[in-house]
Amino acid sequence: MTGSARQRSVVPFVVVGLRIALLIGMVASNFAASTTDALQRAIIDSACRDAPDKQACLLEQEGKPVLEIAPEALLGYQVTWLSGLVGVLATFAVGAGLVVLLRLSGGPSGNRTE
Amino acid sequence: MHIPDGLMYPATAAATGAVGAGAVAYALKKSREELDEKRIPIVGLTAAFIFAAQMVTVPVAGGTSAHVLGGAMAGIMLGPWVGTLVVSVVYLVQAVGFADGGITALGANILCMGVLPAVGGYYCFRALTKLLPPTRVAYLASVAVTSWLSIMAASVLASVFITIGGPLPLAAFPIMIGIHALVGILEAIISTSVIAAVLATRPDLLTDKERLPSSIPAVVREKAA
Repeated sequence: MTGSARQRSVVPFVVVGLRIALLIGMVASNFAASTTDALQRAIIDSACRDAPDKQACLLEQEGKPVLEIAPEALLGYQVTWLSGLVGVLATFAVGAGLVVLLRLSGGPSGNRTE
Repeated sequence: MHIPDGLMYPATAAATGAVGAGAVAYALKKSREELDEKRIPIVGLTAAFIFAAQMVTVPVAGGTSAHVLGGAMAGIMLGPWVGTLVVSVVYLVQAVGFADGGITALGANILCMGVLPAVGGYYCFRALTKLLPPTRVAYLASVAVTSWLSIMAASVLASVFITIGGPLPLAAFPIMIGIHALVGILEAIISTSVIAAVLATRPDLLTDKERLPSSIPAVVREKAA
């Protein structure tokens, strides 16, 4: 009950973790590969499986949106440092905020730390 | 692996949406019962980290790129239902705010990339750590194996949704699974690295403390009892 591990604050851990997440989202994401992802690859490969000229089909498909009906926002979306910043902070806020709301709506008092 | 709008039949989208909503509701209920105040920011942090990690796609093979899912990692770190809640938050923010994954496919994405890896991964990890000796190496090896299996399972379920429950030919099935066998290696490396870092710095924040390696101080391992 009085163990030091129990009393350790999570704040430094969260601050460091959040900095790492922001670094990944804002800096490392700029170096993300722009090639098709695995699901898109499966769609393209299966579409070209029976094509007479498979190479030409693959070239044609890779130059196109994966799905013609995909929303414009998806097709024109570019990863930037700003989307990393907004996304990381929004996800943190939604995740933590949701749990705070859950606690306020009646979590078990026995689990409270102080 | 985010399924976009239009890649599943409407009936599949509706059914997966309903089941996904039920799973999230259950995750909310379980999280309310299980979470203490100390772990509230950890939930937000894990979600934020997974969001950021998913932004970084790396080349895999044959002109294909991939990113981590993080579902098994969240389940192992926080428990199956808190983990499910964490990854559901990620997919919700991605779908609503960033058009990454379709709104109508949100239920399917939560099921195959959230519920299955977090819940299935958690129980797979528990089974492995029960079989193996309580060492740090065995603990991290269990994380790695679980992470790889979670990707394979997720790709199978996503393939079912888009082929049997969607317009794609069954030929997409082996392609998806083949590519994700490689993606799973990336997932295993990232998840194991993250959990190794938490194990080294704050093992008290991990769930299932009785499964922690015997090298972790007893005061931490016995806290759960």
